[in-house]
Amino acid sequence: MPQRFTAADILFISLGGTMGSLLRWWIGLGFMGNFPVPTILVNILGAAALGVLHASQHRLHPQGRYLYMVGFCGSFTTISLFSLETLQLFEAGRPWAALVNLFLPVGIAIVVVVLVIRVVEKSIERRRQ
Amino acid sequence: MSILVVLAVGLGGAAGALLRALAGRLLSYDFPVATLVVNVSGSFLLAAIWFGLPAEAEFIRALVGAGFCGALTTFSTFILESVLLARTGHPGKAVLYLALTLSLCSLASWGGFYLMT
Repeated sequence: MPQRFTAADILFISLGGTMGSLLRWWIGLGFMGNFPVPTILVNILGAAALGVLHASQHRLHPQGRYLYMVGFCGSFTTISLFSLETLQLFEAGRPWAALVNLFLPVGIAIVVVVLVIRVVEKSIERRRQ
Repeated sequence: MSILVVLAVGLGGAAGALLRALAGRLLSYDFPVATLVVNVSGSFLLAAIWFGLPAEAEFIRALVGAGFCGALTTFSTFILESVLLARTGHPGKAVLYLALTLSLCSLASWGGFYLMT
């Protein structure tokens, strides 16, 4: 059994979770377009930020992991809304838009995360030399 | 929009993030089971309340939908875990994880929709 969360861990996770959720909700507020751009944007941005944080983790305070990575990035990005919007496109008789919405953000996010991890690792290496 | 809705999103978000972190502690294997479980269950719950609750239920929708389900499920961790699986010499597991997450979450959303309409 892994060790328990401390009170500070719980505080940092909830703080990050609150901020990430509010920012995601605020970005999507009042959006009326016929393709779910806010969710795509939030998910790619959040994945890129998590990639940067992961690659520079050794410089992060241990509890920064809970605040920024688990709390903020984890809650800022979302799959429940992403898959609901994919379903809604499908139900609206737009199966191609649904497929694009399902695969495009995943493809872009993977490429972006691989790139940012590589860039951060390179810059850390260069600083060490 | 009332201040209550803002409060609901923030509160639900904190609860979702905590439950996701707890799942990560309880279900730690060499395959990202915890993220898969929270993503699939959150997708089901969001679709169920989206189609099951009336539009006037603004507070509950914000609390459970945008707040709790939004924060319980995560796209960033899902992508990072896939990339890390591939980078640590498990490309097969990475592809399996991607395929399982996308298919099961879509199925879960559809399940919530089907149940409530």
